[in-house]
Amino acid sequence: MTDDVELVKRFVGGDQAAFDELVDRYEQTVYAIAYRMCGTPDDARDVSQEVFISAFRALKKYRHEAQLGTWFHRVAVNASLDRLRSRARRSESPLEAAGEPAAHTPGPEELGIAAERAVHVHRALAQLSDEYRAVLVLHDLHDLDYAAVAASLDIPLGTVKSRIHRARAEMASLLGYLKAGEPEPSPDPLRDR
Amino acid sequence: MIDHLSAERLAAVAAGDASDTEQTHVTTCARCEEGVSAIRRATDDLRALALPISRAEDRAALRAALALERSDGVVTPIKPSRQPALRWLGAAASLVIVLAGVTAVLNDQRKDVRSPIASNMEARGLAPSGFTEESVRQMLLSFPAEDNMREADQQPAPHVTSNQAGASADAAAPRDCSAEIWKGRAVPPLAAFYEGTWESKPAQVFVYRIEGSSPHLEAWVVQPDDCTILHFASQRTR
Repeated sequence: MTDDVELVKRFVGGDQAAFDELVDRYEQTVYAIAYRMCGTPDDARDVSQEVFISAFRALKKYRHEAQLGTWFHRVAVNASLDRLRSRARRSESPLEAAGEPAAHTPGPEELGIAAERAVHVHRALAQLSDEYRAVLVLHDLHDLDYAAVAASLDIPLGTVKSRIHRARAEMASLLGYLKAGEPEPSPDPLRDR
Repeated sequence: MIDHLSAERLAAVAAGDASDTEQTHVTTCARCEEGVSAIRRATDDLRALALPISRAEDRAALRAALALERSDGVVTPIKPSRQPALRWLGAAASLVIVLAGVTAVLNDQRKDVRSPIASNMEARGLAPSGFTEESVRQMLLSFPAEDNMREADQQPAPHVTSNQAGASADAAAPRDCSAEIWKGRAVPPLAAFYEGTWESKPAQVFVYRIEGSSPHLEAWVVQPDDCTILHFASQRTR
């Protein structure tokens, strides 16, 4: 398989098919990130388009300072965050927007765990802060290690770890696994900023 | 001896990121051990979520958006290469997206031909001024059979359909709908041609490039057997 660097070079050199290959390669990753970040397939579709149009414009100046996969992760998360902020300005909560996820994507989730459970988890994920959701999406759903998450989000490694720990604790609380009387998730100073 | 761990530190233990003291504490504290198990369970649930897969129409819309980006707003069907079928879907989608973005012009000169189309739009809940996002999606869905699509330059002429496979193979021999559309007037240059289905019926899409003071593209969706016009839309070009 042609590596990303070669494809980007070919694209910069005018080979449009090379860009198509990059789209084929990263399309599902970008979509999945956007879907889990935003909570709806329509947002995921729109974010995907924004990401690849951005890529089409930006890759011609791409300096290979970061792995292309990392670059796509970062752009996908940032585009998702932009969409969420836009949604917030319209006073539409992520939870409301993520209300019926299983109705849109019944197949894949049923393969993983029971559909009802998947909806519950999906909704719990939607209730996390954007920062927490981003680290869990990249680390737990896309199997990026701490360093890759740090690179993708452009935050320090220690911040990645602490956010992942806090986010997982909050997920456990939202899913009802951490009961009352058990330790509460630690406050995140970033959330007060 | 340390107190019970915070939820964050429990998660750190679950992830193997905690200190030796914290790890040891959990082995001797039932409450904290239970907390670690709870966090592991939540993490397992999260990881069990399957990665969502984009829908076919979303993938088509993405390629259409990219086709538009490449063409700077003018429809340029993506040329087939390694994945011709996909390219065709993208080309069809690009047509739809382009047409969806602007006003559907009802030309007075051919009002007699287009009146039924306006009714069709209305019946589908579409204002003559343009398509809704949903209607675009519906049109994308109306062309799911990628193999049924053909581009204009792959055919001697859009009305020459005897060599076409797919959806129209069992249909009556299609007529020269291009002539029917233009009612004996000069047929403008054909920019693209697609064959597929429209509302579950065999359909052809003729896309013409109209030159002049108001250059634009026109798309006509017709039934191939009798040239009944099923849909019309137009898109200004530069």
